[in-house]
Amino acid sequence: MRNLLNILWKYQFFILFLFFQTLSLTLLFQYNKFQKANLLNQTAEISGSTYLLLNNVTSYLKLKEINEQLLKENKRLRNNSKYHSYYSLHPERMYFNDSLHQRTYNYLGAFVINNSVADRNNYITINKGKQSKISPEMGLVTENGIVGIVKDVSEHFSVALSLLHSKTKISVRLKNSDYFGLVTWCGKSPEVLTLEDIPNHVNIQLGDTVITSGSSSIFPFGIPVGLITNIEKVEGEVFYKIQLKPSQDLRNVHHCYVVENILKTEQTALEEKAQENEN
Amino acid sequence: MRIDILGYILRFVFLVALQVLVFNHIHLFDFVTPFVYIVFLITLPVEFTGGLLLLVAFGLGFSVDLFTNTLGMHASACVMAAFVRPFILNLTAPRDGYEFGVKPSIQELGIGWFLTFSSLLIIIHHFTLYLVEVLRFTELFRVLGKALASGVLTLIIITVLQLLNSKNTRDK
Repeated sequence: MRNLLNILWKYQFFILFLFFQTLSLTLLFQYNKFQKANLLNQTAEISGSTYLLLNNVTSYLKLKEINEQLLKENKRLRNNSKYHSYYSLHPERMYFNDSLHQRTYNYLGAFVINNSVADRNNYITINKGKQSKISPEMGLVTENGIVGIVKDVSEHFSVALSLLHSKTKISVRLKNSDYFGLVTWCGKSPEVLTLEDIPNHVNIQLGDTVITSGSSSIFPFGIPVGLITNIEKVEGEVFYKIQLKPSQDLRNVHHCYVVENILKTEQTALEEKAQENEN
Repeated sequence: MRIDILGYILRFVFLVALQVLVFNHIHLFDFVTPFVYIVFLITLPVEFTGGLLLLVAFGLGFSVDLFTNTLGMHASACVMAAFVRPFILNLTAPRDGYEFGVKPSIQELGIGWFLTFSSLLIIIHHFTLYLVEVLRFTELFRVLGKALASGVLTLIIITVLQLLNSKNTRDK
């Protein structure tokens, strides 16, 4: 027994090293594994308010740029508005009482207060949280395209997986053909996304737009994801190797919209029921 | 030997804040980020070792982790750096050993010694950090490249900070 204690004492530094290293790696795996990492949910409030403090200062420097972006978006929306069409439908004259015309997605504006692009797994912190009815698995989009998916929510802040995260997988389709694929990030550069699962008999060209498929219940159909910048046909493979440039430059996100799918609970409940019946 | 505990606590808070608010937002060529907070581990007194060193290192990494959504990543890298620190100190020891109470800094042990010691510690820290980040060996070359590039930047910034700091203390 004394020998054992002696040995433990002699190697205490190494044993403590193993202890702390195990602790760190356990924390890392736990956080990666479960969507609801409780510890970080609580600490998000601390880090969020720190970043908000910094953002209050730096956002002034970007005001001009943000204004230009908003102006551009306003212009587009005004031009699309149905009240500007030659034959306008006045709501008081025509009224649809049809669930087909019900709104499915709700958008909520938020400011990005922290954003990284240089890590292998990048996160975006926004200044809205539980109080604004944000919950995990809501999408983040800008007027140019998608940027991430909400992961953790605290009272006033939310942390989202950036498009530049190894766990982010976006279900997409090509804009001008019906083929579906999956967009991931391989970690090389924030300018390069990977598009998988497009069979190599499909006719695609450089510069083709890739949009969300709308099949995931997170993002609505038709939001831009990226432009094709490189197509590679691999000998003996069924699928292309395609590289995309993100529609929204992720180094330059100041504000975004949180997409809430109003019918999501209905959709997922139905899908779960269907799966249960199969089992 | 009197360790200025309050001074070290202030340093700790200052370096974590500096890292989180300033240096984490530097992405040279999109992938080079300096991790300057490691200077805290570098400049701890030579005699400071054992379990407390590991605990302090874990706390340092963990504090940075809280702000970067990477719970355990920086902590793991810091614990690794703290573990190898005594060995590197032995490896780079001057011919007649360290004087008692000496602090690993440029003005006390010279720039040559400081650069050797820091670069070894920094490269181990950065390599562990990026390796833990991807958690696989298939991206080994990219991990090495990132660690080297970021390490060089960290070393430059740390050296400049040290020189500024030593100038200040000499003026006093």
